[in-house]
Amino acid sequence: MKDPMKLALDQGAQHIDGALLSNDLVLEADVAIVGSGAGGGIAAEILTTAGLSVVIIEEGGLHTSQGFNMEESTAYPHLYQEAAGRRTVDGAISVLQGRCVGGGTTVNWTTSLRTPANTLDHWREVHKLPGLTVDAMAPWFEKVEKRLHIRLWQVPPNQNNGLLADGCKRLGWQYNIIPRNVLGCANLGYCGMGCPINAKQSMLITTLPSAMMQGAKLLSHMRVQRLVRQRDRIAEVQCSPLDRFGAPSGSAKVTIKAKHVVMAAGAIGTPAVIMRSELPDPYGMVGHRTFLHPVLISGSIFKQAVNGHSGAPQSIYSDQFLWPERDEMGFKLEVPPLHPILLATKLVGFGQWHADIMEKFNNLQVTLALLRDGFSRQSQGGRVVLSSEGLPKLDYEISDYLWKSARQALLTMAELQFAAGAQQVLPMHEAGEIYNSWQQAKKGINGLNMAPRQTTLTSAHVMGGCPMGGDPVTSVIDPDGRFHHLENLWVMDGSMFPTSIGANPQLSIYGFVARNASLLAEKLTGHAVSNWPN
Amino acid sequence: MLGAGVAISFGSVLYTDRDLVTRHQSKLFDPHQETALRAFIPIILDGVISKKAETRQAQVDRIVLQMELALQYLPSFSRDQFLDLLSHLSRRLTRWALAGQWTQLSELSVAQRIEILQSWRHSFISLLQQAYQGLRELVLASWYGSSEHWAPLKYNKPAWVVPGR
Repeated sequence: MKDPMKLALDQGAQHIDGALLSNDLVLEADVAIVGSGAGGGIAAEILTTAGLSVVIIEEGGLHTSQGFNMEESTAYPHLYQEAAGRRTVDGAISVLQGRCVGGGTTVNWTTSLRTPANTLDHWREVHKLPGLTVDAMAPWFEKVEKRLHIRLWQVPPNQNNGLLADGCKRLGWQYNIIPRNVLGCANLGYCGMGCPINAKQSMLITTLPSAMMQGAKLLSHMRVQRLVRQRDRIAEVQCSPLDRFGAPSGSAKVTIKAKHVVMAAGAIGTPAVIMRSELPDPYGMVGHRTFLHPVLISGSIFKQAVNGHSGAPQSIYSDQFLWPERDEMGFKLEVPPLHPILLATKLVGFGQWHADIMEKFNNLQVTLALLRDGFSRQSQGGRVVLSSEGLPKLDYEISDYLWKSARQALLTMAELQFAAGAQQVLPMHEAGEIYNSWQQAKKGINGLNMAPRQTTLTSAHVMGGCPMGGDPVTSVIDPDGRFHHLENLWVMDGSMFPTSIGANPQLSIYGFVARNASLLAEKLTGHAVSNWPN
Repeated sequence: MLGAGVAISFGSVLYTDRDLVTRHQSKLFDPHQETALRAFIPIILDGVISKKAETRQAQVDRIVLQMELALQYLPSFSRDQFLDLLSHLSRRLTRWALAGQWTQLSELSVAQRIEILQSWRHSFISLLQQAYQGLRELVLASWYGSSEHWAPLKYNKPAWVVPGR
């Protein structure tokens, strides 16, 4: 398949690379969109379709499929935040986030699940969002599913996913097939390094080139330093060009004068921009209640080849333990793709012990448990803080409430892997051992000290920090996405959610942003957007 | 001196050959930091790094260079934290050496180096745990990012795919 972004650029779409910029620049637009990921991409296409002029500002670089060489050593520094090495302040949780044109959608594993009904129920009951029913959201999910070709994956799962299904079958646990946003997928398994064949329907090859063909200007390697306020409005967006390593180059001053500003810089980036701009936050809400899906990891060794690097990375999930009746942090079971750096760094230990397990690379099955964050008084998430240079960090304290479910998740995964036929199981914990039976694993895992930097925790999903709600005392934006304390500032990304999602968040972001960007377009033009998606 | 609550923000941090060519002039590590690194790289990579002294030396040289380049991609606060942690480890080792156990860091036996890494790994001191994890991840990422090191894994990327076609 041809590269739509390359085609758009060949046909005159406007892109300014901040890393090559040497002159000061002032641009004007109806709407400035900060961030080009799941939120920014959808918003850009809807707003341009409505006839509005748009400037998209992205901190990362523009990388297209020609450069996606299926190597982690190329992908991580160029496509991920902090070269895929971002961690919470105390170092306990590694946080994988995209940083490139297309944001997380360029590097995610394509899992496309609607916001669970239980999550919407919780938001209605606890966060005073009465309009957000399954039925009210369904048309928006249908629209984005059509736009991004989201369908149940029809190809048999790879062995890594298939063994998750096998374990569930043997234990009588529920499991499902995952819908994916792909078209012409060759079942390669390299989604996390940027799709080399333009099959993944990321923002990079769908909404962004489409918006650019309708006049949107894209600025890459461009960091928004400050939203400048005049009374109750944002008057201008001040930006700094970055070099290709992501550091401010000081080469030019870039100013965007826009009638409206949409923040879509992700659930760490958006609060950070609002905080360093010193915008009104009378109730101290911005950047608080920032949630993850903290992930536990369990490795297992099979006699047969599993080849976890090959095939759609995620095609099966189980929600058997996602919604426990007691007040516990439920978890979703999925699997990751296995590639050398990802495995080597998540596998605990070093030296000969580590090398011996790496040699079993093709016989490893790895299962993940994603903890559902933010649904209990005992689960308040973390908060975004700024470094002395104004760069964001996530301060996330891990509660005993979380550790209890974390241990349960390790136990559950070991039981599942032995049921699926694993010869050995290794929970990712600094004191974890290689266990030869479920009984042995049960005893061993129950004896582990669940503590920061001893239990391996990671997360690929960041949500919250600018939650929507009807009450400005307990929320940052209204249910339509408008910042409570300014007239022309909107938030349209994962930071708008009042809790974590309890599912991979990309489709939730697409759906809610489709809704709110359509409302914004209607407000600005006076008529509904009837021609999206085409 | 490092304050409480520092984060190491690295791990899977890489570089490309182009970077190796263009950035190798930069000299990020001071001699103490580099000595600490060189003492532990072969321990972390035991089992995959060459047992031949000359080849092994070249491999360690390359990992040091790659780590230096990888750190260029981090925000300055993360890079500075990593360098501070390396200095902290280096000073700590030197203090132990002065206490009489060893005279030089380079005189540590393999067993002693393993013991030190294990003590950091399971330490009650957050700073040492972070230093261990950061060092370990950066070394492993630097090693396994190179296709020349994939043979023991029997792994390769699909040869028939031409990106962008």
